[in-house]
Amino acid sequence: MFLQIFIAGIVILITILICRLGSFLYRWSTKRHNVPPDVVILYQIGRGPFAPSVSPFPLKLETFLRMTKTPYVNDHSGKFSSKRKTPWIEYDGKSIADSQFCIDYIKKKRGVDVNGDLSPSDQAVARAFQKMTEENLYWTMCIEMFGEDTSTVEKVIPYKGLKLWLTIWFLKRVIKKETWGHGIGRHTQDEVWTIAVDDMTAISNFLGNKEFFMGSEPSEVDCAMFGMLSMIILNMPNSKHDRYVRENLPNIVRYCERMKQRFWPDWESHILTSSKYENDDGKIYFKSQEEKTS
Amino acid sequence: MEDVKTFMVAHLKEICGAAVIGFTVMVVYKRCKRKIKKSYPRNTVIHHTIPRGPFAPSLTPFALKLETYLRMAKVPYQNEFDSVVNRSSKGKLTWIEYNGEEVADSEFCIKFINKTLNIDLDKDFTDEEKAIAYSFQKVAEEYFYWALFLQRWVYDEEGEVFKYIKIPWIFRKIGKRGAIKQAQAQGIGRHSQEEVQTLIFECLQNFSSFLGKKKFLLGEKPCQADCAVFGILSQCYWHGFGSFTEQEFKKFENLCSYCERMKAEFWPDWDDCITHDDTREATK
Repeated sequence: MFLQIFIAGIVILITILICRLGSFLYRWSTKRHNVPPDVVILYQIGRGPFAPSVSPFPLKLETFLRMTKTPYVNDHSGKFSSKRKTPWIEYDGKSIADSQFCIDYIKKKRGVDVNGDLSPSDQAVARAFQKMTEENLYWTMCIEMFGEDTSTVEKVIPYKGLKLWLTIWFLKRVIKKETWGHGIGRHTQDEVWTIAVDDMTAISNFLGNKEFFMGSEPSEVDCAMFGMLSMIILNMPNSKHDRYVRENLPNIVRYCERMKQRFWPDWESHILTSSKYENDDGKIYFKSQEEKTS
Repeated sequence: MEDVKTFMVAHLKEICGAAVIGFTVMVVYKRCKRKIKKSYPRNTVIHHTIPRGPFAPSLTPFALKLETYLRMAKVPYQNEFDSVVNRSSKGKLTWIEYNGEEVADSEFCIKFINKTLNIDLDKDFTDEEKAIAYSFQKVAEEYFYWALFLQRWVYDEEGEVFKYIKIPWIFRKIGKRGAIKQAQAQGIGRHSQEEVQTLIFECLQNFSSFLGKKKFLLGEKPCQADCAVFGILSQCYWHGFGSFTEQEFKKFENLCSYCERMKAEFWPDWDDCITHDDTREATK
């Protein structure tokens, strides 16, 4: 009996070691971009068929890098951070996970501030809307996409066959666990939809006729709001969220178009389904002047 | 080990029989408990919640939110302090009954009452103002709440709050593990303690910046979202028990004044609704 338990323990230990070794080898085998220290390496999960990302957070982070003209390079290999999150960055030798922590770190390191004209009260309002969108509306979108009917998400995730099936199966399980832990997953579908409508209506009512979220000029919150809202109108085709926004909240649609024009003039080259698509893995954006002339 | 195995094999029938009987008794008991429902007065909201807290009327922010709303809306209600065992359909600690209909989740309770009794506490505010107040409510309840949750259940594992949350040590350990899992599922639990505590400070700074010198979230008059924000902030102010959260909270004088103002406005009988550090029964 003891011999059997001992053997089982050894087998488990060896399995764990093999997995760890495999993960370590994977990290070292993937090509690492060789860039100067002042260039941000943005790790994300690759481009999407209808938007530069299938997830709001890489789009938020990349839009911020463009808004602040921070030199950066994309790594589309899909490597995850140490917190098992993506997107994440490497900058000046340091790894930072979580899109907001990345933004805060870049702001501090580079001394950039795109909220310059906003009062402390306005900045607080902006942050409140961002948190509401990322911590509440986001989950209603996950529940909608990964509920009983996954036909919409199958059109958006750029995989085929077994890889697609496995990805959806895995994400469904993860989202069920996460939304249950969060609390929102304990509500019925109708109750979740009520929450989604309240959130989207609040966003639209606050945005009103303004060009950008806080006024006539973009600010940091626009990166997060654009990241999330563009998921609704581009990556959730014909879903309840998409139909509701297009039929009842057209100012959100117009807002996304403005953000796209302003910060993504090369949008078509980052869409997998576009004839102008180019793989920009390793391409440096906003190279500094010293780099260009040397 | 061998003795245990031999014992189990020898008494397998008795063990299975005991398990089946125990399970049946539990199911029958639960069914009977459901049928023996108290009868309550009509047109009165029955607020099922946990027993009164030591320094504020509740140790859970959502019960305080809901009860403050009932007072703000002047809705006839009575409390039943039984929700530790008599949980909502979603397994939560704050729920209501109204004329036989049960509603779970504090926000859905408020929506239900607004609809049933035709109440609109925000009718004097513009859509934009309501949207702003709503966003702060969501930050408080869906983001800041998790940081407080971690602080109370994980970082302050041996904290003074457990003098009042009277559960055995083993349940506290199980509760801590459950809290870590839930917080990780939500996302905030993947950050380090230092990062979460930075988020706590930033959230408080945000609330303070927005509130400024205003009496309530949207100015001179309170709105529905004030109930939710007050519910959350009350835990920092009165039920912080000397923790990091309380220390940081007290740096923001306008947030402290806000809590006192909400208490004065809607809880003139506050002293009757707390146990004063468990030294006496709350009479209301």
